[in-house]
Amino acid sequence: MNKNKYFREDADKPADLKSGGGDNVVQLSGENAVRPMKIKQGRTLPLWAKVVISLLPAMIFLTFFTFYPMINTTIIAFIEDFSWQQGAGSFSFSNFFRQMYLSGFTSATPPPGFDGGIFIAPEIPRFSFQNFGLVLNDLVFRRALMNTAILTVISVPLTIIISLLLSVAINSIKAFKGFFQTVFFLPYVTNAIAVGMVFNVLFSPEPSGIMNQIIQVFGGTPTAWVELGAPQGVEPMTKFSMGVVLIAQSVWSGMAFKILVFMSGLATIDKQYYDAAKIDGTRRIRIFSKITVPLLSPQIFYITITSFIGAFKMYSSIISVVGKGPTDFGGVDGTLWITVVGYIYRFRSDDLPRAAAGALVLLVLVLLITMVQTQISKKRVHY
Amino acid sequence: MQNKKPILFMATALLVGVLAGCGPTTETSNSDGSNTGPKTRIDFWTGFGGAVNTVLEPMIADFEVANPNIDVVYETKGGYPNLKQAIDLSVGNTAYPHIANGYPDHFASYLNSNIMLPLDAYMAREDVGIDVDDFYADYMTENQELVDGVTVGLPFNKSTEIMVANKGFFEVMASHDPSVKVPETWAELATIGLRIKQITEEQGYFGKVVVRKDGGGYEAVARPVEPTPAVKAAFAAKTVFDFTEVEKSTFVPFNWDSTSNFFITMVRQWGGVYTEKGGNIRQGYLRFNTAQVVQGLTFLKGLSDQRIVGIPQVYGQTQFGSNPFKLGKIVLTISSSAGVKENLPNNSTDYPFEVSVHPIPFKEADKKFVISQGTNLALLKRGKAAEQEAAWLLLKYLTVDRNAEFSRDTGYFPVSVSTQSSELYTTFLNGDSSNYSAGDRAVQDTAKLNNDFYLDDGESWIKFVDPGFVGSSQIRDEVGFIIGKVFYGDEGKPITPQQAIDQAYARLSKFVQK
Amino acid sequence: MKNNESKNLKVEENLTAEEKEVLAKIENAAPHGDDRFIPTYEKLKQYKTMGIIVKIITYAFLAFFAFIILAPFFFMISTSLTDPISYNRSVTAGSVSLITTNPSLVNFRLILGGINPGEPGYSTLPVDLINTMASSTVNFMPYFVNTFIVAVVATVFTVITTIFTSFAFARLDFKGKNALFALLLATMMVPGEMMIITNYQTVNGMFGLTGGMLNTFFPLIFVHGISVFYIFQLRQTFQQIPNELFLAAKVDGYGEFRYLWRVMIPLGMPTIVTIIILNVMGSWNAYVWPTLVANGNHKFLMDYGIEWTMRLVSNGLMSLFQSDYRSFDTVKIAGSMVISAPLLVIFVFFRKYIMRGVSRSGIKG
Repeated sequence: MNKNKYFREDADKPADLKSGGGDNVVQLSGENAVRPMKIKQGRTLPLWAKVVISLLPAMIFLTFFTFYPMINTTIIAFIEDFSWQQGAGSFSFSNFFRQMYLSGFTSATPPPGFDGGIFIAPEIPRFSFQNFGLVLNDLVFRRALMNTAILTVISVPLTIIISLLLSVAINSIKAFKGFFQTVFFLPYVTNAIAVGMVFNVLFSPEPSGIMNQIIQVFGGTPTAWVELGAPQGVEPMTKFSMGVVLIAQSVWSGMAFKILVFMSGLATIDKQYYDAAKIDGTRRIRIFSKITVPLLSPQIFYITITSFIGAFKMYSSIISVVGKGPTDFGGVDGTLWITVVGYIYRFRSDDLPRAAAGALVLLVLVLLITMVQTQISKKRVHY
Repeated sequence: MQNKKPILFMATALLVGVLAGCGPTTETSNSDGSNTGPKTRIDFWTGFGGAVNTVLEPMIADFEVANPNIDVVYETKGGYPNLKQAIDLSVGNTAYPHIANGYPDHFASYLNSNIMLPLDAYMAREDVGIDVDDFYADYMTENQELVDGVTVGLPFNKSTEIMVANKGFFEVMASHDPSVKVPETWAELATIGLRIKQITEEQGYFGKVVVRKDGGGYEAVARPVEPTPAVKAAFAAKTVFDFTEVEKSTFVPFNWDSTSNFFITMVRQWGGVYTEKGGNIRQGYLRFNTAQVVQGLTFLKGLSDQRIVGIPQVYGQTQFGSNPFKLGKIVLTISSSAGVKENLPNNSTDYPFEVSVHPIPFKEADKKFVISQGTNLALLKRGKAAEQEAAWLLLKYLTVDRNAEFSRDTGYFPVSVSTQSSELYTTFLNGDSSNYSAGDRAVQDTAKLNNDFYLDDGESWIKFVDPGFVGSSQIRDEVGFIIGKVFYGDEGKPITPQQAIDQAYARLSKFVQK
Repeated sequence: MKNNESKNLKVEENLTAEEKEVLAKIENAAPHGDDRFIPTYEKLKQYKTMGIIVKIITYAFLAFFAFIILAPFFFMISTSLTDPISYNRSVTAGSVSLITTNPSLVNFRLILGGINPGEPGYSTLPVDLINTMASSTVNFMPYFVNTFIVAVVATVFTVITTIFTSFAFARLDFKGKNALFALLLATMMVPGEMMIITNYQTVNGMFGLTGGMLNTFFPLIFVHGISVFYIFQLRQTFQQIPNELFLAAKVDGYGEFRYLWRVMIPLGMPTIVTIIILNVMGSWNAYVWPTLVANGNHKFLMDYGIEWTMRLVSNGLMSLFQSDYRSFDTVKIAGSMVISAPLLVIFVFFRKYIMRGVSRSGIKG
């Protein structure tokens, strides 16, 4: 063993306690205070090197793929008449300057490098709120906002209530508990596109589709839920019918995670509360509303926030039900159930400033929702 | 050292921004990495699908053989929207190709980003130039009106729209009522459309196969049950048309594949104006909020309510009516001339019918408008002079040297007079069609149709194009929806033509002239 | 209560010895004073019957919803096992059922590489499906291979970077640590849509190549490789390791990194396993980003003449949905089934880990 690696040369000498003993001495309390311990000291890197080594990989990738894009998108959103200029790279700021530079020339007197080439002077770019105006006034965006709000406001509370009831139900039984837990968690491990496709076929417009059969059993007329072309005898699709499919899909796949979280929350509730309530002869409903829900409120709050934000960003579940590609949301023109995120993706190549402005609007909305919910929670959540 | 961490972070961020901003300054080396001499490599992007690629790729290979120092890397982006997006997003990095095809809308956007090369210099050269006047003026207009005095592209794959009819069906109809024929005008369609539905019902043809009777005349029978191949073949030989899959309640005889073209052609045929270009390629305005357009829409809606006229969605299709046409559910379909082969029943049913091609319906004899479609080839500003010239050589090769074969094999039309009258093409046009496959025959018929009707001065058809400006493709998409909404309602609610137009104007507010 | 007590005292004097006994029993059995708390036989019975009724309702409720959850799975399995002609027949006959009578693997074989004439099951394909097969092929095998590669490599990358970063925030003390961590947390709030377009362009122009690193594995693995959520979780776990452990290790001469390797990682293993599971699931279900950057053929393999599609399972499935196979329900459902199957299989085996991990990441504090 290499002594020098672990022992300082003067380790056998007693330490000088008065001056603190140096950094190879551990001060123990009480009686042992006077006895310095021999500590093996290894060679270590200085602190800053450790920090750099451990943080560098993450920071590099985060900078390139998170911070830089955020800045880039924000800049684009505020530039009026933005257009990519050849050779200016993909950083919007440098494109801005190049566009400004080029706009000073005319076709007759092209800038250097364009001799023999076609030159059309671009617009003078300016920083303004014009893109936001375009987005907020756009009828399609308003529809997207409305759709997103409807889907969120209906599906999230519905899913949460059902999940809560199911969790309490599972928690209260002994037999088949594991079975139900497994079954209700299954939708979590499915693929969003696959689920959408299955729902598309389940809600097939043919009268023989599963949902249409169920409707006919109850005496109704079959509907073409999502598809545009309706066979004979089938009611044509409406916004409502497609909305039903979307909500059904959202609830179906959303229950799994919530039930899981609620169940783990329920497991932490002290049994004593229930026992006390039982002794008091409290009715079960009162137990639920006065004990279970308040004690579960941290989980409910967490689930509510994440579900609202998640539902607000709904995108792939809708296109997977329609199944006509990443920008088709149903209906004649593909914007029937367009959502805010869908709006952003629609313009990502044609009208980039609009997409960027839309993304910023989305950010603001998400922050708003979070703030509002946090305020509400301050009164309702009991830790 | 700890103090420097935040500064280090800021510096890194700034550096990243600058680095990402710099475009690449070096061109890539040879794709195979070997040193085989100074080979010039050019990139060629299109949006073509499988059918055209099988014709195009061998031609590119031939070009490489004829020009051993040029290496062409061909890539198809699978659709024009994808192609435009790929190029739009590569502007900053100069990662777009040297040569690509596109519509005037696309070119307007590329011009706006200042990445296009003018062709005039190359065209005028002694050694590698071409004769511009040889190209059809119609096709050249859209390439020359984007920027004054500059030609930005040369026509490549041009097509128009034609009406494909179920020939057998109309034969039988005519035998019952001599006034029934393939309609030439909208007015004729209105009456004939009702009549053929009547006759089909009276004769009990729905759900049956109509076969030729031995003594002459026709009768309706059911399909043979579990036939042997011999029985099948014999039955197919006497089949005129097969309506087994067609029901009275869902029979809508006339279909127009492209709703955008439907709207735009209708606007012109009813005497209206569709869009207009402003002072430069960034300005374009809507012009279709007029009484004529409302009239046209009202008329068409009437036909739709009588279930004479339909669009793909009513047959459960997203884009094309070819599948229902092959099943007999449509008997008159308007499709792109280049897509005529898609409508042939061939192998999709055991008992096929014959097809015939006709010009599209018109309203008045002095307004026989039909759309001229298809893309042009253009050079994009990239690389050194040697690469740009190599790209020009490829462009010339495809539009001049091989245009005749390209037209013959794909069904697109010749772009120049010399191609149209070339030996190869005229032999094909006048060839004995009995030796051709059904597909080639259809292509030949279409080419003849183009020759004899659309191009013939006597017939006075006008092939129109719409001005290209930034965003014009957006307008095209939006007006396509108008037809569907007027016919079938907007989200389940009925909507009047004027309301539909107003809605389109509201959604295209950017293009409304203030 | 006082009144009762005085009442009782008054009555007591008039009771017999027997009655006194009974009274004493009752008083000992129940807390003093309140009649309500004394359960009578009737009340007990009532409570018990209520209990049984409630239990029945609960089980019915659970069974009903369990059926709703399971129904699509049944449907998926049964439809994908039905051959197309029988399916068409049942569609025109007016009823498609949840259970199939004649299972057949035709759809799966079609998806995983196509069926040729002469092979068993070919006769169960209707004419229009055969035509579609002639014009456009579908093969899900490459999608699986790609997704597997991405899942494995991306997870390794993510785990390594997460471990190092959480270690830095949990163990090391440097200036600006809290500010930096707050910055990272803030990025969690930012929706991904803000970054996706710029990332596409960055990838498009990477390394000065035409088309950058599009259609390669690079953007699929590295662009979304760092997850602040995982860093947050793991940092929390690391912070729960008592400091004394570190001091003891320091005594043994452990440096920070050795401590990380020898102590922190083993102790944080449950969280790390959770991260691995969640990350694999995330790679499997990714759709938006792969659609943008990995929709064509592999860029570098093309130089060698190999056409290898870069699609992952999700956008591969969507392209099936959009293609000419659109109208064939059985093929579509077989595609969905085939894509969901691997995760379901993993779920069956690692159920406890997955559920525990997901719930852990979901609970506050």
